[in-house]
Amino acid sequence: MQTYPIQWILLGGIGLSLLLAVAVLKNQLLGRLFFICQFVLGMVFVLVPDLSSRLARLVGIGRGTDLILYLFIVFCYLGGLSILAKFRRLERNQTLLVRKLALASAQVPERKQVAGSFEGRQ
Amino acid sequence: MKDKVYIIVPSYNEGAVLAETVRALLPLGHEVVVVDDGSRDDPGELLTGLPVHLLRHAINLGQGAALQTGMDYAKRCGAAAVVHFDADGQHDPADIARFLAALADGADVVLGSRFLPGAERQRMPMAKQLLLQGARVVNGLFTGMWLSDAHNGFRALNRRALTAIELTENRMAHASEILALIRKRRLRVREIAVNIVYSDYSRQKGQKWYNSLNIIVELIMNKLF
Repeated sequence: MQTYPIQWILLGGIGLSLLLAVAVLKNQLLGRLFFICQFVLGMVFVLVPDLSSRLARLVGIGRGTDLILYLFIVFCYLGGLSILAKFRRLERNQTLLVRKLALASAQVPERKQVAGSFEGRQ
Repeated sequence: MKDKVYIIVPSYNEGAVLAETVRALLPLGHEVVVVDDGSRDDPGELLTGLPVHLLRHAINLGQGAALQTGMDYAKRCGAAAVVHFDADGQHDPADIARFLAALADGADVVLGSRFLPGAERQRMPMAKQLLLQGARVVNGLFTGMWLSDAHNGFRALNRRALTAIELTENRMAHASEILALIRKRRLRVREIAVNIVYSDYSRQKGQKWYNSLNIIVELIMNKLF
């Protein structure tokens, strides 16, 4: 099988991205699998250039380029959503943290403090 | 018994109006909890000498988060009931007694309504009335709770509701989240008519109509994640 320089360049880039993505997503199996599938698919398309065209015809799209574009859009959305979900988790944690701080440093009216300690002694 | 009712006043950059609101609440003899949601100025200075509980968020999170912080605090203090009360002076402290009476009468959650017979809508702008009707329908569709009003910040919760409701919507969508949780936890709910005064201050400070779009997006996001 004849290879072109561009294939090696692309493979190198995709491989590096894969490593980075897997390293960044610590202990999130689903996210890792998502990125691994995405990058492996990219590598296969680079190695077997006419595969995308054959697949495209199989599913009723004219050109392989179009198929790759559609896949790209889907992957972009899924990636974006997973980041959004992560943001919400972060926001939740931040809220809990800020709340804990607020509760720990609550200012209580003085008269109540006296009443409270009195009740405590009883 | 009386000191077991906690009035939660979420506040964000309210300034002098906050102190006025608190002063109007204190004669009722309940505990007043001000939750400052990361205001620019220290509200402690404005409230100096007033016997209130003051909690401060280190950063601004939103009204829903402030209410939940207040409710967590009240829970810890052994509150028998809490009242949500807006800081901007649009609610009438005299209504609180009727909220508590409704709780005593068997309701778990009492919601203030601006659209029940008997409610006075002083100076409520027409656009606001239409917007609230739209919000009412959105709430109905999302939460299955069909009420006469939507996003009214005046509420009372008994101890059962206090432990059953945990708000995760930090911003304005918490009002819909409360309704969803009321339904999910099968709490007994009642609406009572309240008088809302739309002062120039609260009109200027209040929700902009386009914010309702934000609320809808937040509700959808909450359903998805």
